[in-house]
Amino acid sequence: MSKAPAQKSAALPEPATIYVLWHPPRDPADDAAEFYAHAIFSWFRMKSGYGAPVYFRSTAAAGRDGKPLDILPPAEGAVNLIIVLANAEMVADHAWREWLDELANRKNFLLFPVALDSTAYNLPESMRELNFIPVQLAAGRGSQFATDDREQGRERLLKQLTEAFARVLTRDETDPAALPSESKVRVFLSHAKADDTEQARSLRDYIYSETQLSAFFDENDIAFGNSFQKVLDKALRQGETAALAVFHGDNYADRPWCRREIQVFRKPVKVKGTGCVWMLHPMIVLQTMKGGISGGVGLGRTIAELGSATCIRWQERNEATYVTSLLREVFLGARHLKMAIEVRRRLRRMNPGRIAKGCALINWTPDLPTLLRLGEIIRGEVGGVPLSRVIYPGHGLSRLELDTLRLYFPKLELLTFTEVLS
Amino acid sequence: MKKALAPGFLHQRIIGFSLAESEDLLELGFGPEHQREVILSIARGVLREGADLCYGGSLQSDGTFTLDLIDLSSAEQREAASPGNRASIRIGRLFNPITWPAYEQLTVAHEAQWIDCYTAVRVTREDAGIEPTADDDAVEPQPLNPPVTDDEKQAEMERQERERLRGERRAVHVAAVLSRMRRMQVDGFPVPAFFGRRGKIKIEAAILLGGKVTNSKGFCPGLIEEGVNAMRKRIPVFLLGGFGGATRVLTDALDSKNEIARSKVLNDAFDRCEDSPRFDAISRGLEHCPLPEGIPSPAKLREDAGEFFKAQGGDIEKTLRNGLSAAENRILFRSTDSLEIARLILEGLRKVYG
Repeated sequence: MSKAPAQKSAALPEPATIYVLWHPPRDPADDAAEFYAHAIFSWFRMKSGYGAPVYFRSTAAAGRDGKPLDILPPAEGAVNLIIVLANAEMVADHAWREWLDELANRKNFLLFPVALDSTAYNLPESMRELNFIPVQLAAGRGSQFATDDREQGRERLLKQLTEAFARVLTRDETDPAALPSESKVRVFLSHAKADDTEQARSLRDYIYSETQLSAFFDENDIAFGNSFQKVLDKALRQGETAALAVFHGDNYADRPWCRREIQVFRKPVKVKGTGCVWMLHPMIVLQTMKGGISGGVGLGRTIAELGSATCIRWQERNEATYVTSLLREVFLGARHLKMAIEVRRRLRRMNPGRIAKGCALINWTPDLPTLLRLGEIIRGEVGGVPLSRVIYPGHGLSRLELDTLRLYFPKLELLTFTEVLS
Repeated sequence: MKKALAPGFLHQRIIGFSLAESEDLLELGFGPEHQREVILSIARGVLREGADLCYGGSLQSDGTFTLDLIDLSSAEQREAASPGNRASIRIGRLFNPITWPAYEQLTVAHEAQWIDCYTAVRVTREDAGIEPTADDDAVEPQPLNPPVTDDEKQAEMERQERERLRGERRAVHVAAVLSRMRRMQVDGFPVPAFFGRRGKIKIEAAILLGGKVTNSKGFCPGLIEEGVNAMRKRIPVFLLGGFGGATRVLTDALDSKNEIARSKVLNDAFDRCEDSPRFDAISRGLEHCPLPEGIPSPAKLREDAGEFFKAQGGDIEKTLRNGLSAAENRILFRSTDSLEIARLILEGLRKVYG
């Protein structure tokens, strides 16, 4: 008699849930905190719903003695990222103080206080030890706050939160004592020397002066004769998370070494101990082409290896946007990797037999270059077995993308995490 | 040769969306963006099965979802029309019964730009049985200088009084047109004849989410009126109560333990609506501006809702007729998970129309 199939668990595993807390303003016109709350939602959740879940806590809930709805504990292995938009009204409200103190002591609740004004540092003792994120440019403990400029404040806030969250999700979980701050993200800057290197230098300088990241810039950091592969491998062995920023200028496509860097970086890597979970290092492409028909520069080319990577046009003094965007790729990549590992665990529980050899769970949205490489690697590893099933994050590819992939992989089954669990 | 489009199981069915932001969203831990995500998830699912959408919102970007649904329909149509797309299903459009005065924002340029994915149906004051006078639409600006003489002061007082009466009449007219629009959604409204469709269409399922209880522009909370209209006409109704508002009132009423509790839930909601400043203007307006024939008064709407729910006796399946069991409906009453909600709604629609 055949065994009844195990119950399928449809709810998607969520490694990090974001909560944004702000005190309801007495004056309805004072909507600064709400402005930032919506900005946080748009940035981390994204319009497509591809990002992390974000919930709000502001208005008092019935039966809570002036406090908002409580926050449920996260699932096993997951964290709650609690952003506290602190201002005088929150600081002065005793119900809120009691609640924040309680939240600060809960397991797997990581609090990120944001100082909207100078009284924010008077939050309960349990929170004063934390690193506050000041929203205004000239701010910090003991300093005067600059005139409110919400757009600048939003940019600054999102940059710092994205960096902090990326570090939380990329910390070494095999070390129980590892703090989020010990997780390192190293940004590799790939550019063609024949293009203007000023942009890469300005991004490197920004990273070192305004962030807690480190940057790798091959003018300075690669010893003569060392290969990019060795440098990347060493960084990864040291427990760093690698992210790549490509300066796609007019000459980039014609430089074999640049294309080699992308090939090395964009090679899918199997996650140890999983057998079928694969990860890709996060990458963004900064579009710096200047060429045209006139001007003697000529026309540049795109390159296939870039696939469907996030692409942004370079503009001066916009370094914060590029770093924040890259860090969001790091955050999402880490999130999707954890989800892939959990989906694998559930699939094995549902079907105690091994997951098929040609099956891969990945942490990125599949595109042709990466699937071709993945298929090649798997064929090489498992004696010619072709890639047969790819399970990936998100809400699904468009029909056009699916049709394109099926031209090259006619028998490949493409399923999202949600589809495979339901 | 032009590719024949395959029908989905909801081919040319009109799925009505009754949606609005609710006052208790934030208390529940959500913002309008959470509602938007759920709505688009559902709408995408029904569009991909060949349905058309119907939503009576204005073109404001805040507080309504018309522009989101237009964008979605347009994007889905482009996706379905992409080359090499073998299994394409005809993707429907948004029918938007848009009331006076909101349709004054709609220009011919908008309609031309959205011609493939959007059809506006203007619901006028005349549709609601109102014959607007020149005074109704008059604009009397405040004098630049404060009145000095007795005659000037008298004239200014009279101007203010006319403004007050005009404002109250306008509040009644807005509410009456809204009621008319809600009725037309279930009785049928005229659309330009195209693609072989008859000239009149009505909704064949209603999905409700959110909705204001207080400060409604209508004679009662709009989503309560729309929900009761659809249920009385035995149209399949899906109540998504997880985001609070008037929809939560309906789910609480339906799921109440007994008649007393049910009646209390409904009456509390109507009381809150009538206790708000906007309703004050409407009720003062009703003192000097008679209701057109066929438009129910606030008291009648309250009475009809109460009687309807009393007659249903808390029978969820019989009331909602949406293909789902009482247990599945109770999940919808509380869920805020967009995937779960969309899945259940499509399941129900498949049982009714599949």
